[in-house]
Amino acid sequence: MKKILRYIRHSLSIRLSLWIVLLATIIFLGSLSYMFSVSRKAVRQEAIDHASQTLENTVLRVSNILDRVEVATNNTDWLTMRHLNTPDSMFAYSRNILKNNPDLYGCSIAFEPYYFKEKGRDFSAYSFRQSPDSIETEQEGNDLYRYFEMDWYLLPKLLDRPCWTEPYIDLDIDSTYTKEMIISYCKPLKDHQGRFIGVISTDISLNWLSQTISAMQPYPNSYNIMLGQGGTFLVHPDSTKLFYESIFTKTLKEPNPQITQLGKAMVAGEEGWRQMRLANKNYYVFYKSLPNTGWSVSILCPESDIFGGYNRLTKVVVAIMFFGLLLMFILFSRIVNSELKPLRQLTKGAETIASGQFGEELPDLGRIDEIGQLTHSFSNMQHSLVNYIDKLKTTTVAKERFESELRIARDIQMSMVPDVFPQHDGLDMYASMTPAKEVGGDLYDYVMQGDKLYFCVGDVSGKGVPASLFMAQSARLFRTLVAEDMMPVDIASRMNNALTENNDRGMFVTMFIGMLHLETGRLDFCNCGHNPPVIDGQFLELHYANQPLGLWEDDPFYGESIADIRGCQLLIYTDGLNEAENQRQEMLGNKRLIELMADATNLDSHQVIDMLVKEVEQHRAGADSNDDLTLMCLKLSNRKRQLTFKNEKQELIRVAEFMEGVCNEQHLDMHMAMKLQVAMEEMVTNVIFYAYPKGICADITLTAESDGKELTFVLSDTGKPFDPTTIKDADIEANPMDREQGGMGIHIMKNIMSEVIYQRLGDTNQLTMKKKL
Amino acid sequence: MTQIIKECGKTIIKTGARIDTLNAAQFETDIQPALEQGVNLEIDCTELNYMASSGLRIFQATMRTVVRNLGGQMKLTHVNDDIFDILKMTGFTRHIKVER
Repeated sequence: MKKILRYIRHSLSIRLSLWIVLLATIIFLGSLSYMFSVSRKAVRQEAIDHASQTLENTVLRVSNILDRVEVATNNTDWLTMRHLNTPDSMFAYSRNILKNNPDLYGCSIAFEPYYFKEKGRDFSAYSFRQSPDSIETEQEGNDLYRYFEMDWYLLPKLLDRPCWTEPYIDLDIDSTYTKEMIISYCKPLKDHQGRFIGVISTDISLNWLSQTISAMQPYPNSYNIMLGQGGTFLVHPDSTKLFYESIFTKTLKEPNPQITQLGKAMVAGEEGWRQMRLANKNYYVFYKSLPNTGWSVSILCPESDIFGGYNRLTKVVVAIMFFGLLLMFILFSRIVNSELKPLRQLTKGAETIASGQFGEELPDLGRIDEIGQLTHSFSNMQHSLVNYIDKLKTTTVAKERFESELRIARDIQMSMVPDVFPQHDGLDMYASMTPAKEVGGDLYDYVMQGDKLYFCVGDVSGKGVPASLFMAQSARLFRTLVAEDMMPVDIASRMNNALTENNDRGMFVTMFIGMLHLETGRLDFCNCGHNPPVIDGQFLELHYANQPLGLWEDDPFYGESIADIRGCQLLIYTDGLNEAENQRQEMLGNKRLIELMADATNLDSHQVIDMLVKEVEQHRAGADSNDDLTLMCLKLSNRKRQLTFKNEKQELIRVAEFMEGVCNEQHLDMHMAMKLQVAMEEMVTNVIFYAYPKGICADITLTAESDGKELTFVLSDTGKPFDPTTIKDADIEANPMDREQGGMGIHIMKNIMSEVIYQRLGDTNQLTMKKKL
Repeated sequence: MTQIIKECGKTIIKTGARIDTLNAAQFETDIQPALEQGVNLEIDCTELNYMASSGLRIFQATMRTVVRNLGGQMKLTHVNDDIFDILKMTGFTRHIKVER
């Protein structure tokens, strides 16, 4: 079912056809129903008319028969009266009636007992039709058949007028005759004085009458009945019911009000028709009484006969309609399908175009209807699309060229700032620049000039290409001026003058210019309107707020200096760091910057910058970068000295020289120097003598490093594991004479040094000795 | 350069500037002649400005020889502050006479 529904939904032709057939069905059914109901009425009326007419004819015919009987009787009547003197002529007269009227069954001319003296008591001349061609005549009265006591004789005598008897059986004395049911017309005979002298009676066969009437059928299966007074069947298709049953007989056993009512109406002599159900069939019953007799004739017509033709017609019409609609559905869906064929072609073409083959020609359907218009519109759309794409290509190429130029500009700009940093002993420097757009207005640079490191970080007003050009100019100026070996404040002043020239657009650059003496750690700097750098997790306190470069010529600049920044972490940045905004325009802020830097004192410069860049990205959380971001971090550590020597006794001289150099560099007094010498000799001697098996030559290293507060020595060897810190102290309480030898060297070293740490790193003994200065 | 001077019943050993790992053995050999029965030994450290534990071990051995075996006496004289510190931190100053 679901499949069928889906199919219907997917097929326009089926759906259209279904709708049309449905509408046609409704219209057909409506009009046919109306037509059938009207024609049914007409057919019924026609049937009523037809049956009524037949009934009329039947009644007329019965009346005719009865009239003929009466006329024949009356015609014989006067003959009888004329020839009363010749009783035997009565036989001829009765015979003549039958001869002249073939419909009649018998005729009696009967006289009162002893009317003819010579004839005795009984005299009744009786003729009857033995067969259609032979008539028997006889005197019927005798002791067994006392005719003057019969109904047919007594009725007219008592009523004193002619009358019809009810049906009765012609009681034959001679059993060779078949019993015949008859009805008789009886007329009293009177003499001239008006005295009753006998009866003339004419009989007709009830069977014959029944056959005659039954022959008159308006429909093949219709039949007639005739009822006598009291409802006795006078005519019925079942001859056994004649005379013996009445219309009410059956209702005694099975009450049927319809039949009872019909019987009553017929007995009462009414005329009319009604619908009844008899023996499981619907009947139309028409009835009418016969004049003068009290009898009633009725025709029963089965409904199936009346509407037989009509019903057959209905079936045929319905069948034709059904097949017609089916044919219509099939044809219509075919027609719609073939009409939609171009639409399918168009769909296919459109899909091809949609897949990117814009050159695909749509099929020329040669149609001017809606489908043709659609194809035309689609074709127009295709051309527009092709044009648009061409235009887009051109624009894209132009844009790409522009972008490629910008990319090149970016590369050039990025190449103007160094990405390699000085490999100077003790100097840890790193910097990065991230323009907000392809090119930016930030800059940083450094130049090594002898034992001096010049560096700068700057931020040009504005962003993008104009800023980048100004930045390039500034960077070039810095390099040029540094070469002249000037102080930062002079560089700032010279740069300012150069940048102010022809600076019609009023651009400027804020800049921090520094000069670091690598040997002494002295920092000279000039801050030109730039953000204060962060030193060891705190903002550097600036005493002079110089103007940015490029604004006012000849304004004085003031330089500052810090005596020694060795061991300090210095961060110089542009406002892309502390003013980095997220989507809610919230800045990263100075507070957060200080928090971050306070936690970063143990990181090296590269790590610090990576951490800050990551932090800015996290803070932005997807927001576009609002400013160029430039960071420079540097730290000048105290110089680290290193000595590598062999495990030989003579190397102690080199160690002593090394120690002397370290102590001189640290400007240590001779007492401290002597003690450090002793301590180191103790440890080095231990290693040289005891760390390695005999004959094995190995390298031993010793480093010395100072951060100004503490002097740290690290002695490393790859000999057998030996941890001097766990060696039991020499018993200095005891008299040296009683002591065991050894342990004193380590004791001396521990006493001289402030802190001793031993680590076994892989196959290396590493002894770290620190001495507070 | 080590010198041995005998005067007024005293034997005086004048040390060089350094007694370290490299020259300790030499120093030990040099002073052997001064170690006589019942010697009144004075080690003059006027020149000495550097001494490692190897030097202390010689002093230790010398003390044992002179005081315990030869029934003599031994003292250190003209010891500078640095050497004194070393002697002090190793517990020598408590068991041997050290003069500045």
